[in-house]
Amino acid sequence: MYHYDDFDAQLVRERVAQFRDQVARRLDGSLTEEEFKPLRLMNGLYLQLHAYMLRVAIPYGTLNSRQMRQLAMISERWDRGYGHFTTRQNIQFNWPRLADVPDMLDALAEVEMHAIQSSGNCIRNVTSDPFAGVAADEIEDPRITAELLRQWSTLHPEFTFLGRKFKIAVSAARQDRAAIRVHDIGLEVRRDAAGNPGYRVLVGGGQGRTPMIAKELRAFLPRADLLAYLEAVLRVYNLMGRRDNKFKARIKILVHELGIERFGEMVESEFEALDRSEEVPVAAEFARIARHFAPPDYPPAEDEPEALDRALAAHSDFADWVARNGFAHREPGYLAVTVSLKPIGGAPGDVTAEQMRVLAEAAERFSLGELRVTHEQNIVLPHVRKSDLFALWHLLRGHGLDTANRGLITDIIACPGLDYCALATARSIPVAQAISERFADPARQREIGSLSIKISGCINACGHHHVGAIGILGLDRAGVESYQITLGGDPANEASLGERTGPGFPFEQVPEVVEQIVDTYLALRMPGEGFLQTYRRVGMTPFREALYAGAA
Amino acid sequence: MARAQHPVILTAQDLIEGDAVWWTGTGWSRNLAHALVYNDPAAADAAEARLAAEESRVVGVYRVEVDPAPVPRPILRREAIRADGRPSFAYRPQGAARRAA
Repeated sequence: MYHYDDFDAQLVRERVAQFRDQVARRLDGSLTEEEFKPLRLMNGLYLQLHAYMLRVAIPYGTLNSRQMRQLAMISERWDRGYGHFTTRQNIQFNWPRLADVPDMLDALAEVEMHAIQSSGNCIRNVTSDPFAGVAADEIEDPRITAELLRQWSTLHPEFTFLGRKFKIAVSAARQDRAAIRVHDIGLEVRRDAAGNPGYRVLVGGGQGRTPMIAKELRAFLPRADLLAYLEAVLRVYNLMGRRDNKFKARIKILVHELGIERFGEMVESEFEALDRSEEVPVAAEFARIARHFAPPDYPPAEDEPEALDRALAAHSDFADWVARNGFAHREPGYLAVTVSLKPIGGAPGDVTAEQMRVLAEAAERFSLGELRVTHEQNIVLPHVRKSDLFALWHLLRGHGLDTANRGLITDIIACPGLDYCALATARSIPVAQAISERFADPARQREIGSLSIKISGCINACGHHHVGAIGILGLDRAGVESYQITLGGDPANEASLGERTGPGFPFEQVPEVVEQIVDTYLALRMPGEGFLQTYRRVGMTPFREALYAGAA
Repeated sequence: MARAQHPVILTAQDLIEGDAVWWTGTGWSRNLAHALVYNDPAAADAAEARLAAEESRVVGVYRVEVDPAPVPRPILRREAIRADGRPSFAYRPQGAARRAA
């Protein structure tokens, strides 16, 4: 994984010192809240419903054991002993005191972490495939590109005051596991006919109140042009994007209003006109960063260890966990494992400091020291020897981290919602908890099969409800929570936005509504069909009839 | 939007802690029971404007509609959760330690 050089370390330290001074000036009254707010946001510090919230960047979701232990320490020393992993592969601390935040940032800097650009109208944390470097279907490690973009976009003077936030995701595999079609820019690593590396560039995707699937801007962009081309895209957006209305300020609206052809012409024109005489050569930078992402030295491992077979045969819980949470590794004898942060009835993505330390230990002993945060709010241990799986499972099991539900109906994505967020209009986590309890039976979950439920507590869609097979959006209707249901959303290669079933439902009714949707699916599915396949075959009508039968 | 039909109290967030505080008429308190209830919208407007202009130890002054008796209780769920100072569910995963308050 990437390690800071002297420049990175100095930049982060200077930034902390700068913010420490800004906090001091806020506390002594030299800065007003209006002056201070954009400064704290650029350092990931929000003021939420109950307290400040610090959002820490986890670049493309990659962490090492030492960093995870430091997050545990930070949560105990300056927060309330837990953290919340987000759909942006970051972590949030929900209860810091303003005066403590500079010390928290110093503690992050000690382990090569920061909170820079985890908020504000700038280029945010670049997200990627949690199985980077693991998946057999990838062309190269997408994190090399993600790190290149992180360095390019960090404190980029031209793109520090964009019209709105800007999110980039990178995939390098045939299967899109980074939801690149619902990002402002989605990059897919490709090779041209001659085998040269480059990118398919998608633009204008996003969720929020006006969800859109990204459109193709370039089918193939040579790698050498990546930074210049993105500069052209950002520049056109920065100049042409709307600033009169916050809700129409994202690049997706500009692309939609201009049309992808006209937008593309403007980008190409800007790109042609760029003075690239002082550009840092991408190839050299890419090669420098790529060295950090060289495959680890895998200790030898048996591909079919006998002891594993015996453990699988003797412990059905363990066998279920391996079957459900395992992900094929391209290195023989290894498996990537998802540690679910979705215990039945839990708050999706929340982990205690103690659990963080267990995850750090698990990574150290069993995963070459590495962890990944997924946008599904789980943790991946990317490099586990098959012969270590049983010992790993035992370790996790002792700390409530052995839930075998990756991709099942209880593996729910939920934003913090009304319980934490100042913008939310309805609760999210309690809805997730109620659904999770309702479908707690593992056998029933397996019978239903893969099915994503995604819950947002307001129209900003942090819970990705637009791309949930079942999407749930909590709204406020005259002071009462009302939950709109959408069906058929998909964040991956066949990206689609969910379609509304009809009028919303009250909080208490949501689990029953989900149950009716599931029952309808089970009654209609053909052998081997998943929920989305069934939905695409039969359409909305039978689900609507099931939900609204008897309604006037 | 129609004017509030309910009495209101004034709230903000403490600059250092970030938690909710309530205007008592003479200062800011963390105890909701001490909040001054305004039955007169004009008086609430005037106080809100004055307190917003004086913000130094608090951030984001605004009004909250309440059911005033026996102690003020916010009408809206959002404000009720905020007034409780914690999420509506058992939010700390089991075993989580807490920073000394």
